[in-house]
Amino acid sequence: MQLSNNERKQILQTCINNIKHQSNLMKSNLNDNKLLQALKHCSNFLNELRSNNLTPKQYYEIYMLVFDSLGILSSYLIGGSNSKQSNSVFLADLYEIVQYSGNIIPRLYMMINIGTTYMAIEGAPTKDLMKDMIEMCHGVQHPIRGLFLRYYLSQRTKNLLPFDNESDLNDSVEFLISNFIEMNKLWVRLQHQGHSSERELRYKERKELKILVGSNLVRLSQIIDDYTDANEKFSSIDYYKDKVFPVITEQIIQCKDHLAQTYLIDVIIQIFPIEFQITTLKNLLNDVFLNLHPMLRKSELIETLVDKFINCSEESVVEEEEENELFNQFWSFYLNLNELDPTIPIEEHSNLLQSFINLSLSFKNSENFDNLNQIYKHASENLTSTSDSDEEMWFNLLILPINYFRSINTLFKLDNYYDFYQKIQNNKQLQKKISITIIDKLLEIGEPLKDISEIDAIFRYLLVLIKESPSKLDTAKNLGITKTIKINNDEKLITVEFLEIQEKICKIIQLIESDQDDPSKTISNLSYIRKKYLNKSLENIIYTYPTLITKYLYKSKILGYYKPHDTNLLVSNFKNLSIIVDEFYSNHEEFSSSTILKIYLNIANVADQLKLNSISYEIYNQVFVIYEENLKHSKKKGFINPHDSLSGGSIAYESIILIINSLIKTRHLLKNQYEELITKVTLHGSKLLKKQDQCRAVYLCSNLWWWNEILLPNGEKPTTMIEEEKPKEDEKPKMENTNQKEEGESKNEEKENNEEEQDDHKDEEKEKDVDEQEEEEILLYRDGKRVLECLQKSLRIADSCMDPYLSLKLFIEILNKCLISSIYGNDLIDYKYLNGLIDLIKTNIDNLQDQQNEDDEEVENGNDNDEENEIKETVLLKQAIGYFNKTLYYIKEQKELEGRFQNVNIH
Amino acid sequence: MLTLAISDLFIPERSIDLPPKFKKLLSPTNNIPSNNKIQNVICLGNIINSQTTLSWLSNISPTFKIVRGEYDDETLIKQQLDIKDVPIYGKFQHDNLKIGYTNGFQIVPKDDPLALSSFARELDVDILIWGGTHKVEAYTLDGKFFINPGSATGAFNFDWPEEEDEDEDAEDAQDEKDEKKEKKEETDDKEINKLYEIEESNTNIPSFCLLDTQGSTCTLYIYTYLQNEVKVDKITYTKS
Repeated sequence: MQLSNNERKQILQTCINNIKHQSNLMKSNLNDNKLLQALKHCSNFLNELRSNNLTPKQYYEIYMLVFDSLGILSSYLIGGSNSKQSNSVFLADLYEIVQYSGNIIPRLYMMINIGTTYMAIEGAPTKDLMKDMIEMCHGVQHPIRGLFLRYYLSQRTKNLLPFDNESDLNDSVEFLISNFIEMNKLWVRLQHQGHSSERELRYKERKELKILVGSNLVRLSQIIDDYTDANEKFSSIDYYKDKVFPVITEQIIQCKDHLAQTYLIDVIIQIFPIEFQITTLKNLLNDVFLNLHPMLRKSELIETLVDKFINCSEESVVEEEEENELFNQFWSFYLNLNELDPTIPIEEHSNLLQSFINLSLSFKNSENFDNLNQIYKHASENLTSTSDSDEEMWFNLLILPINYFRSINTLFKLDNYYDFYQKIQNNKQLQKKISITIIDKLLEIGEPLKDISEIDAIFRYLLVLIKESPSKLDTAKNLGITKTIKINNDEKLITVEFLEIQEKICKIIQLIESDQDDPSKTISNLSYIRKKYLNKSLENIIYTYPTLITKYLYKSKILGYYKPHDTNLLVSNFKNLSIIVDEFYSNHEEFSSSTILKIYLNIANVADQLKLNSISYEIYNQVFVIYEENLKHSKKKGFINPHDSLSGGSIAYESIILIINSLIKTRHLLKNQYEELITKVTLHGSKLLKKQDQCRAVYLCSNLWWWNEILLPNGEKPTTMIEEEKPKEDEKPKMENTNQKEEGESKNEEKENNEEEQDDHKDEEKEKDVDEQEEEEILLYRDGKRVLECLQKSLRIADSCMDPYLSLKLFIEILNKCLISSIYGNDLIDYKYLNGLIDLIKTNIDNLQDQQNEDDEEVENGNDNDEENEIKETVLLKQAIGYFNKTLYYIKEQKELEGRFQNVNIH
Repeated sequence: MLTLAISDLFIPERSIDLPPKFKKLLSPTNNIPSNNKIQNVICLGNIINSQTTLSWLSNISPTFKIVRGEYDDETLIKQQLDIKDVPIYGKFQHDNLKIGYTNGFQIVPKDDPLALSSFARELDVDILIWGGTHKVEAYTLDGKFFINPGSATGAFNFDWPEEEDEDEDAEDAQDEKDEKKEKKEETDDKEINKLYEIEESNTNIPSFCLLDTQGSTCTLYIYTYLQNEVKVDKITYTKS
């Protein structure tokens, strides 16, 4: 009959009270040396262990109380007699006496208590006692009572079992094994107690009791471990293998109980040392595992076993040369299992294979990929997916080794890994996840990709990411919380994740190097990934080409300095690069022209540095094509304050500035090429849409006619001026002493040869002494007249503005430009010119002030037409005056500190 | 007040990441902000399009200011940071110091000291922080302080190389090649050496700057990363 929880609690309480009461009585009897009386009370509280109405947990509670109370009795008995001899006789008698106790439970507990107390005494018939007690325990067949009784036996004998010699060891092991077998039988039988509807409850109760059964195995392992034999031939490993392992596993198999098998195999794996496991591995896998309950999840046990091997891998119990053998044992078990039971669920396969992968990855020989390849080969040939969840399990198999990758080599050698990866190609999301994990790992390793085979080994995993469509939002996984970014004038949406992936691909491109420290090799590797991978999705090259091209160009630059005489190689490199940029441009001119313009400018500058002037010149022409086709008329972006000269302007204006800044850096274009280009950019500048953009572009262009030695790198000798006729002395005020070189080179020839000869007879000192350097070689392109023309033109444009405040602002900007021009030695911008400009500005300020005063009066008189505008103009004028005064102050400072601008009138 | 000036990261176009030691220095914790000593972060652009780097930068201190660099895509950065626009220059005042910052690609000629000085004059600042050159430097001109924090990743650029390679080396190598084969190894070494030198002169040193501003004084700490070590230099500027 089922008892309620409360009823059980009451019963428990009564039991506890009785035990405590009887135990106290026993104690006081013992104090009075009334042993027989005490034994009676002892028997009384032991009676409580006969209860049928307690849960295993509750039973355990009273067992503990009893255990402690029995301890009091045994302590008394040990100290009971003075002489050892008499004590021994006394305990032997007592052991007989308690056997007359009426009930079996109290009788056996007292027997064990006294028997084990007796065993502790030297000269006691230990083995007889052991045999007797273990025999007697058969008398209790009730599962819970029997389990606890035998547990008591096991606990009491814990430190008393003899193992002085092999015979002792045999007896003790036999004792423990026999107790284990009986306990396991009781434990299994408990499952079948009571009504079948209580099966679940029984199962739960049994789980709570498992430790009682397992304790025998723990003790068994300790005793074998502690035993030392004088005989050198004795091997505890062999002993375990021959005498222990077969018996206990036999019992485990025979009991056919799911819980017992799961728990006890786990205990065996956990408690017996790794050396033992190695010896019995074959048997465990093939004789035990294959014969376990068919429903039992072998993967969990395998995982425990493999983990044990992995955790011990540091201890070198498995030598490097034995690792393959170890793996093969697991592997043949797996194949046998497959044969025996073809219906193993996919999850079980996945878990088992994961364990095997982990095992192989833990091996010391990390360059051996045969085992992993074997696993992936099997997986790709035999596993078939029926659902998405299957593929997710495969994903686990694939993701597992990535974290162990130590080098690119790993991926390189894992051929079958790729085959298995290909099997989930229908599930692009999973493939992508794996690829991203691989990328992240490679970036963490940071090892360069040196040759085509390494590149292929990696990029085949990147292909899924390269081809990914950016506009196809994957919201299935993220339930619409994916953050998107608008591009191409808000016409297109891409996800943040997509951008991050493209970023990672670019970082992988950064890893591409060559194996022989050869820049041209790297360049050909870069060309290779473009053709083979990157342009497989022309839509996406916009994200990867800038990186590819930039790296290509950088390597070309290095190559150019490394092999300056190999003109053919360099030229063909630039031509190939040009093809790549062309492809980029023809596919993305609509929204990427600005990017491509910058790329071309970089290419032109590098070509110029390498003295490949015809290349540089051609690229600049390409720049102007892009400008005219796509940038000249590009729409303005947002509001641009015309008075703000610092913040750039329209895309067209910014493009002009970029072209100017690029041309300013060139030093080796032929003079006529250079002049053609700078005239062109000035012309484009003067044709910009807005007056202020025109004005600023033109005054900035003035810089192109007056090279500045400060911007020149150390030791660089420009060639632009060399082949032309002697520059006019009056235009080169700083170069009177220049030794013009006249090497007699042909005008049409490229400049490399010339440069070479120049270098021959000159040991250039990289000194700060600019003057000295100038005296030697430096020929700067300077044409003061054209500078003046530009400034004049910008003044005219400024003057033609309808907005007088804008005119004024532009005048002051031009004044500042003129000051720089003057400092840099353009004598045509002299004090008269500056004074004229300052006067012009002053007049304009006066006029505007007058006008504002008049307007103010009008406002005061009530003609309030547009107050807000008035205020804005007042601010503009104030700002202009402030800027002007700062400029004047600067002139004053320069007068005082540097002696410049002496005749400039600032008052 | 401590202000971080950082520029020209070029991730992923020209570099993979900052040196780990820089990252550790700049963001010692995983909190937001990740550095409780820095009050202000100024990025001078050319970050390119790395969302992770942008988030990392903006999480260093409570304030994050960014200006657009020559190679930045304004549309992207705007949305990545969820801000209205990415200006081309900015300005702020701390105590007695007016500090301006810009990438500087719109200044012509780029990096010309007088053009920069003129820019600072028009912007009306005492300190101008600019970038775009990938070379860390700081100098005083016309009573103003000019700071370029260089490239935090040491990204390469396409300016003229730092120093011209001695052509003699090449000539020597050439001569030796013609000699007996025994010397081949030596020549190879020399060739590799030459390549190494060229790469060296075309490579930039990772760097950033910290500005400690107080009153009229700015103490500048220049952090550079050389041979796996972080080096710190100090320069002090006081506004007259």
